[in-house]
Amino acid sequence: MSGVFSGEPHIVLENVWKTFESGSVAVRNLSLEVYCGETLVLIGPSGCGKTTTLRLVNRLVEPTKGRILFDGENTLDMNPDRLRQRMGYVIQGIGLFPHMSVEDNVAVVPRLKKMPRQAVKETVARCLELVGLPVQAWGKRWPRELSGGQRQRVGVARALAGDPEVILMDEPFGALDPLTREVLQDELLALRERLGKTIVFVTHDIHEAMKMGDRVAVMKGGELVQVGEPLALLSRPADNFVADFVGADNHLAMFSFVKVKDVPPRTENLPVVGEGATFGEALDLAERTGIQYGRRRFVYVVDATGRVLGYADIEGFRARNDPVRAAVKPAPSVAPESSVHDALLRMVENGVINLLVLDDNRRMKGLLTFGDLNRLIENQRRGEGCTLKP
Amino acid sequence: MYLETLSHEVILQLALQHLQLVFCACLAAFLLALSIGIWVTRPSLKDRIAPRLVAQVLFLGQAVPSLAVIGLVMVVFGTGAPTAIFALTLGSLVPMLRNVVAGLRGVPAPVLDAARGNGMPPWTVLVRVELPLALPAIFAGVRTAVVIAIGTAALSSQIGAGGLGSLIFTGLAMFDMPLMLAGAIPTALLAIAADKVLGLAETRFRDKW
Ligand SMILES: Nc1ncnc2c1ncn2[C@@H]1O[C@H](COP(=O)(O)OP(=O)(O)O)[C@@H](O)[C@H]1O
Ligand SMILES: [Mg+2]
Repeated sequence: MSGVFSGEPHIVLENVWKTFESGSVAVRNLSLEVYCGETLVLIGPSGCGKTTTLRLVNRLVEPTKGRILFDGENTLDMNPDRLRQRMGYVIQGIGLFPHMSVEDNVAVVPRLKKMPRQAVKETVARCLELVGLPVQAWGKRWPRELSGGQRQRVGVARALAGDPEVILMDEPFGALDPLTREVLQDELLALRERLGKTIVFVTHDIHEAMKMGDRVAVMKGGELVQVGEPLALLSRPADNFVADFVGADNHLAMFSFVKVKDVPPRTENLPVVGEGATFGEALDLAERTGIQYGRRRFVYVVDATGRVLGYADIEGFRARNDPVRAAVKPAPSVAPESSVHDALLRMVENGVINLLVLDDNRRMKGLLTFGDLNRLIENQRRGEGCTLKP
Repeated sequence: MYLETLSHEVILQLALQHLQLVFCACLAAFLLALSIGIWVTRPSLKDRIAPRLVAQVLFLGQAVPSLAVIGLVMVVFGTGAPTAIFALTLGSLVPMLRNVVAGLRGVPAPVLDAARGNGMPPWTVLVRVELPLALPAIFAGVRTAVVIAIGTAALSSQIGAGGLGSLIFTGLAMFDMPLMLAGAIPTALLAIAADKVLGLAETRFRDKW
C-alpha cells in the first residue's frame, strides 16, 4: 500500500490560516498534500476545523493566509464557480434541491457545464445507476419521497455527475443508521476502485476513517497533528492525542481497522489442485504443503482459468483414482478489502484456521492462517506495530 | 348620483378602474419588493449597513396608516390616479417585501451550500434555487398585499382617482345607505375573490414538491 500515491500532489495546502470575522481561528498553519487518486480522510473532534478545511479547498471559504494549489495552480487565481465544477461536493446534511426531481438534482452540474441534452440524460442515468438508484424507477421522484440513505446516494450521484477531478465529502454518512452507513461505505469503496478519483473525506468516526482512508489526517484545534496511513497512525501515533483518538492501545478493536490486504498472505506451498486432479494427487500435495490443517486435511480446487471452485476434504477419500471434483464444497473466504476482524470472525463461524483471500473474480490472492493472525496480535502487543515482517 | 340612476355599467366601470389602480400598484410594489428583497439578502452584503437600514425603514413604514400615506403623497404629487397608485404601492410594498425577505432567508443553508459548492454562479443560485424555494412565501405576500390594496384603493376616490370608493364616499356623504353599499359590497367581493383565486394558485405552488 505504501508508495502507491507518492505521485503528483493534486491538492496542496501551504501554511493555510483561516480566521473568521468573529475572531475564531478555525485553521492554523495547515500544510497538507492530497495525492492524485488517493482518499485522504480528515478526522478530529467536533469544531477542530475539518469542514472549514474542506471548504477552503473549493473556496466556499477563503484563506486568511497561505496558499491552496489545485493541479499546481493557486485556487485564488481561478474562477470559483469553474473551480467548484471540477470538484464534486457532498455536504454535511446532503442539501438536495427540494424543488427538483432526483434526476434534475443530478443534472445540475452537467447542465452548468453546458453538456448537450442527450449527454446530460446519459450522465444522469449512469450516475444514478452507479449509486444503485436506476433512473427509470427513481429519476422522477422528489427528494422528500426518499429515505435518508437514498438521499445520500443522490447526493453522491450529484457530486459524481460533473465528472469532477476531485470529490469533497463532508461527513456524508454521519446522519445515517449504522447499517445503512456500512452499506454506503462499502459502495463508495467499490466506486472508488472503479473511478479512481481523488477524494477528501471528512468524518469524526475513527472506524470510518480507517476504513475509507488511504491516508488519515488527524486535526485538533485547527492544527494538523499527524497524517499517515491508517496502520502508521496505529503503530506510531505522534502523541497521546492521536493514540487516544485512534485507540492504538486497544489491540482487538484495531483489527477492525486493519485490512486483510495489509497482512501479507501466504502464497507459497499451498494445497491447490486443478479440477482434473485425483484424490491420490491431492493427498500427496497435501502432505507436502507448508500449512497447518485444522481437524482434517483438504485441498483447494481451481478451474482451468484459475477461479477457485472450493475445497475438497481428503480425509475420507475412497480411491486414489477418484476425481477430487466430485467432493468439492464451497470454501470459506474473505475479500482483500475486508477487515482482519471480519476474517477472524469468518474463521470462528466456519470452524477453520485457514481462510482463502479471494478477489472479485474468485481468484486466489493467498491464504490467511490463524497462526499468522496470532503472530500479528503478538507483534502488536509487544509494540512492534501492526506488521508481519520479521 | 342616486341609486335609481346607477346602472350596472357604472358599477362595472368603477370596479374596473378600482382593479386598475390595484393592479398597477401591486405590480410596481412587487417588482420593487423583489428587487429590494433580493438586494438585502445577498450574502456578500450581509454585514453592510445599507440593506439593513432600508429594511428597517420600510418595516417601520408599515406602522403609518394608509390614509396618512395618501395624504402625504398628495401634498407632494397633487391629486389623481398617479398619486393613488403611488400611495397604494407604498402600502403594498411592506407586506410583499417582508415575505420576499422571509422566503429568501428561509432557504436552508445546506441547500445554498450545495448550490454554490457544486459551482452554480450567484445569479444561477438565485434564479434556480433561491427564488423557486421562496416562491410560496413570496406568493403569500402578494396575496396579502393585493387583498389589502383592494380595500385601501377605496380611499383613492378621495383624491380623485375614482374606483368603487366614489360610491362609498358619496353614499356616506349623502347618508345614502344603498349607494354606499353599491360601492362597499363589490369592493368586499373583489377582495374575497382575489383572496380565493390567489390562494388557489398558492396551494398549487406548495403542493408541487
Ligand atoms: N462561518 C463561520 N463563522 C465563524 N466561525 C466559524 C464559521 N464556520 C466555522 N466556524 C468556527 O470554526 C471552528 C471550526 O469549525 P468547523 O470547520 O465547522 O469544524 P468541524 O467541521 O471540524 O466540526 C469552530 O470553532 C466554528 O465555530
Ligand atoms: Mg463539520
